[in-house]
Amino acid sequence: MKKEAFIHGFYPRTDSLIEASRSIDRNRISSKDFNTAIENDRNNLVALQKANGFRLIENDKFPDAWQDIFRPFLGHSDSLAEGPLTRTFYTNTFFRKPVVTGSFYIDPENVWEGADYANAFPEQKVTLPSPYAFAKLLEDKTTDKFQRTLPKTEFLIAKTIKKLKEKGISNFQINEPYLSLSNPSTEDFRRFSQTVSYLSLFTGVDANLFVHFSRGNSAAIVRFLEEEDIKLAGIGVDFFKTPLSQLPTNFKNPLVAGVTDSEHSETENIDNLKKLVSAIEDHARPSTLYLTHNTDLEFVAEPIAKQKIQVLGELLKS
Amino acid sequence: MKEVNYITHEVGSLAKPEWRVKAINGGKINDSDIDLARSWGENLDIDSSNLIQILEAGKSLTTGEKLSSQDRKVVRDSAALYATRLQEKAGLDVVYDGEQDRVEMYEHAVRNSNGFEFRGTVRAFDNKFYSKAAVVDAPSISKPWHTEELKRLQKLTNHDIKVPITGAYTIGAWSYDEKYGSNPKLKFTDDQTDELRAREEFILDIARNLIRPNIESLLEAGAKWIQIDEPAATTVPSEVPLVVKSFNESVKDFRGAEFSIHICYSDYSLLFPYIQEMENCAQYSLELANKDSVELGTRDEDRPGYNILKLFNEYNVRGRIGLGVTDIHSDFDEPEELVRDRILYASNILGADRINPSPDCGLRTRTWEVAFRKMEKTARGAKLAAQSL
Repeated sequence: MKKEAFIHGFYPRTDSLIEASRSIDRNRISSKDFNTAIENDRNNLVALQKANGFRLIENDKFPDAWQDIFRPFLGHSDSLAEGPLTRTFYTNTFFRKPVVTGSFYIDPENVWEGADYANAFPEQKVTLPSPYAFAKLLEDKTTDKFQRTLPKTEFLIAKTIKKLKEKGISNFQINEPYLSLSNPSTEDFRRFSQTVSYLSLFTGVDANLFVHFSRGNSAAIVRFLEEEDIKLAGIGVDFFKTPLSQLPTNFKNPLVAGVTDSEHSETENIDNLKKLVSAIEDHARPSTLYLTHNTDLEFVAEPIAKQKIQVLGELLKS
Repeated sequence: MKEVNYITHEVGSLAKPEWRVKAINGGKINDSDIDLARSWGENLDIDSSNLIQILEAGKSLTTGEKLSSQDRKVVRDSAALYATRLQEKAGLDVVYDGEQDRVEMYEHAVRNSNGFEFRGTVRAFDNKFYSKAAVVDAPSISKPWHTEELKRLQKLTNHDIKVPITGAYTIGAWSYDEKYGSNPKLKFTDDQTDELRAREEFILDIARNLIRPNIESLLEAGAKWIQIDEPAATTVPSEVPLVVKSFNESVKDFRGAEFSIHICYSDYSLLFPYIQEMENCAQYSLELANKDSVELGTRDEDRPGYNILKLFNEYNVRGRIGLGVTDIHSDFDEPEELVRDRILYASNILGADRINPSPDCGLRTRTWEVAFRKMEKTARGAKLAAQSL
């Protein structure tokens, strides 16, 4: 069994970048200085991942284009606009609710203007919104039927993957909180598996698609995907919300294990983690086990996030 | 025809002016800061000569030097006065001081309490951040959080005053727990009994040992209306009963003042039926404009953000509604007629005497120009609505 580790989603800003972020809003610093602060955090984040033995390096989401997971997609067409500030599930963090007002065609080339993939490299991994959660969380003024909205977000994320592949990126992750936090039906699972299959057409055989379920007990959806034989680069589980005993044994897909808690300030005890990882290996027996954190690290301050990455690095060595 | 006079009020914070921020923190005061203080002073009919003199002296300070503590007090008091006058001039009936002395609603409360340690800065949205703490010991009050603010404000205004105070549930929900619950525990079972028990113990300890002592102090100082801010109220739907329990624990047996609860950016349907059990709650202050259409009209389809009010009738929840009628997260300039229609729609459902129009929430993220405009539209829209009845 291979073992790797990576991070995903949003990483918190350092105090320096926070100060620069506040300052740019108040016109106290220039754009050049703000971009320098971003570059510093970016370089540090890449170095941190590499120093801890991570092969797949997550892109940062520090530029203003990435104020939340949906923001890069908003405002580039007349049809997908920024809506009201909306709480991210049960946290004290907010996103701008996407609002669909028209036919929803968006040229993904425009989407990435501010996201900066000039330095893309093959081991880079990009976390994108899951089309399913995207469709659930947006407001579609053109229809009240979810099944009419979902194809729009599927199309958008699929085209985005295609564009990013052209830029040299070959690892994609979609984070899906909705299916583990709500009370989904088998029909929801079936529809989600179609979404994943559709995206896989665009990742193709030369790129990788990871699907990570956060924020709730994902045992049911994970069992479904395994039983349906959906092929992925990895299926992710939040082990703070999902009991290992409820997961299938003998995973067909690689397993992405969220074993550090991004919503808790204390660093996990390495001995407890080693026991869990050993139990996961014995129970799930995936061909590859990817160790990671349960949800975005931006819910803790950067020094704590750094410690949680270092714990993953220690686990890799053990 | 019965004459209606909608009582309008603020909800929370106002942005701190740059001259205040720099003067208190030792930043470099410049001419544009002073011009801003002077021009707003003129706009608000405030004699700013003493403040301007202090700020002028502040220009010559070198990096790291600060004004004297006496001068900094003048600056703080001036900012509170400006913020209060801003609300008065906008036409609001019930005011506060724009929370000018508070760092942020969570951070201020925790900084003035024992049993917490800060664990760094996390993002709220866009380039807005807050400092988040962990509870490490039993919470207790180190000094009353807002009594000095209130006493100062009582000398600054003849308007009625409503004092906002961060609620127990929100303080608990926004803190890391390093005392009551276990260390980050990886789940091997679905049993959450221990976690739920720990959370309830934590939050009720906050209600008893932080909120109640603060309320006692405010009542002694003459507070007549205390608003308990619970923006986290519906973030975990299964915990809404705990929100109700913590509110009741915070305010039980207190007399001599009204209590209200402010909740925002939430799914309010989750409050029902549990808020039927709220005790001693005179008003439910809700953010609603953020979710509403900007079309005029008083039909259900015109006012999607306000349909939720029907649940108050359905569940027979009495008390007034603090009706958010202007969106505080955008600079959109609400027409008075839009504010009027929002108020009229709510009045049709609940009765005009139960409606207190206000901005959705604190206006901290808006410039003073925008904040003033939104508060003014709130007041003007209320007058239009009263005339329309």
